Amino acid sequence: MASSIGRRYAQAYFDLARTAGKIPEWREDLVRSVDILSNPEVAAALANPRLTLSDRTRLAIEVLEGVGEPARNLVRLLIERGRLGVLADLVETYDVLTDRDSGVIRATVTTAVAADDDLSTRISTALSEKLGAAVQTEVHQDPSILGGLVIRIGDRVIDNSLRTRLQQLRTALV
Amino acid sequence: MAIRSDEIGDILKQRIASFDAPVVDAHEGVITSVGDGIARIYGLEEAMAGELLEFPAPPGGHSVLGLALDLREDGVGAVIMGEYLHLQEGDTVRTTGRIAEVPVGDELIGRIVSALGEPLDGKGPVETSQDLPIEHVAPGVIFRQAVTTPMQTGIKAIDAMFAIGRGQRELIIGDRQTGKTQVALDAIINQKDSGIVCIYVAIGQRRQTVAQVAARLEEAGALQNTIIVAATASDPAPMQFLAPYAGCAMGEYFMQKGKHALIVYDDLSKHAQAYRQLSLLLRRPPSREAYPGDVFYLHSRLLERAARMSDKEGGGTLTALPIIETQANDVSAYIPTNVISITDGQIFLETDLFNAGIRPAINVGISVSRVGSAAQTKAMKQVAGQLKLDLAQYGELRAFAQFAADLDKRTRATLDRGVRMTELLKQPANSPVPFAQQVIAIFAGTRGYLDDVPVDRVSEFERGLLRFLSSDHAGLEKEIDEKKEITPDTEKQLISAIEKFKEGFAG
Repeated sequence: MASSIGRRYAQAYFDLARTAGKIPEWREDLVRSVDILSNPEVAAALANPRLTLSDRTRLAIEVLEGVGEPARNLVRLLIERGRLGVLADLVETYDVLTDRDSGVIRATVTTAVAADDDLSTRISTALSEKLGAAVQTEVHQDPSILGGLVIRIGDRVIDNSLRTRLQQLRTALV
Repeated sequence: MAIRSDEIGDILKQRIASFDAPVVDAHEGVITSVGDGIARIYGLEEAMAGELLEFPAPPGGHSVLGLALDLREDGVGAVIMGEYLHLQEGDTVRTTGRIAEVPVGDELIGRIVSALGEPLDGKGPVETSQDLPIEHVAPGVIFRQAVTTPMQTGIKAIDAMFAIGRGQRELIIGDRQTGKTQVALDAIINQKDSGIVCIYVAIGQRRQTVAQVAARLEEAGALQNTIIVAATASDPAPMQFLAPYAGCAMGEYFMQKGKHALIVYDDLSKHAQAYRQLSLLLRRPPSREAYPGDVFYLHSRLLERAARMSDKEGGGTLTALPIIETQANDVSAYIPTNVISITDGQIFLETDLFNAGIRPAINVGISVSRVGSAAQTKAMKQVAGQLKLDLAQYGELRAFAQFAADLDKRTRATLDRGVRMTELLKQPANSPVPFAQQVIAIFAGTRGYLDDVPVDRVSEFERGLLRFLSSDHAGLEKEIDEKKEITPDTEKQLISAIEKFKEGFAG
């Protein structure tokens, strides 16, 4: 969940990327920009109020040498508007927008025992049927849930783990 | 009946075997900060305002519930209703899909419960079959009708001069130690046989006080038609904030069934303080006296839920007696002015009167009931009109007369009458007076039968007269009770009876 300001920049950047038909490439540029600008020295310089705005903008453009033009323009815009802080959140929002655009839902599945490929596929198929969209699952193993499954989609959680059921049993009995 | 241990084992086995909880399908967020009973949660984009949230359980305990109060773009601010010391940054919080609600029903009557309806009196679980949401929009205009039926408090001064109707909201206001709670308790005790269910909501009180209230009601036999909802000073602020709404929901249940209920909020000053604490911790902007901007709405939405429903809706009523504690008689402070403007009148209690032995210490001059005589029976109207006038004249002359050596005859008479009427309206605690007896006592006073009785013997006269009438003229009381008015015939009988009693009293 990003701030609404970040969401707007991300939406604009994403819309342009889609129009250009280069969604993955633009994402790559965005990630690289975030990487470079999160270097402590660069970040300190960009946050330094003693440098004039034009100095800071020039610095950012120079360190981003080789990164795609649109991403550099985005960074320049953010610096000019004093919104560089939202840059790090943009990737996450960009991914959400990408998934939404392509109709893919990402789910994280937690199991108590190691899941084989067969189980993963069965879970994916069942979820796709239930949600009416393609579901990409990522399976984690976590013995502490004791048994059953925990499925997370965004901040929705479908929990049928043994741990939670035991907790419910405790609430019902004690 | 003793339960054998193997039976318990069997029951447990059965319950475990048949245990079937639905799969949890909820939304999840992460605690980013927690403290002072408040948690900020990242995520939970789908949470509803006022939704119950489930926090992780402390080791070996139940999961803790919270209430989503502050929905923001970057997360949710929630108050935690229970233990929060074990919660940590990074813990997950789940939505429950339920708006805060309390159990309601006849089963609650005679019990002491918390703001969430959990029993506090050690009399076992409360088995109700229905829940109602804690927050509920007050009945609309077309569902209501005007307040016309009296809700007898059994307190002479109130029933005669500031009559409270069923469905009315009458504020009881005064400094500490002026008998505010006592007035409310007397009103509850008087409902023992009236069929009105009473709800006493204790907000931010000492547990000791709540225990005393319960004991006093028990002693008077009024606990069996009373529900006590307690959020004491040691309960977390969210519980104190919720308690009045919870009590109100319990009262609404009876109102919706076409029955009658009386609810006492003791007191709303502490309620406002609890809400101020929550609001400041949730970082809402403070306004006057550091209360949040919506503190007026806090009380107005609560008190608006008291109503008299139209006959089509069953005709049930919920009468509210909110209590406000003032500091040094300052009625112009923020919370008192708010609640005064919301309610249909106020009963003002004063320390000076209390210390002068006038109990209940009602200031007749500034107390008022905006429903007033519309909610009085004809008999009371017949006798009480004169009473108000007598006392008003007395009040005006009293200050003036202190400087005058010689007084003309009429002034003297007005003063004498006023002193005796004030004396007549005194009433000990926990002893409500039945309606007919009130009428007779005030009748005797306003018709001047007390004017030649020494001031210090007025209450003796009153007691004697009532005893005399109930033994020698039992029919009179009954007649006033049934007809609800003093017919010319009754009046004649009453006068002759009082005169007869007076002859014997002189000695």
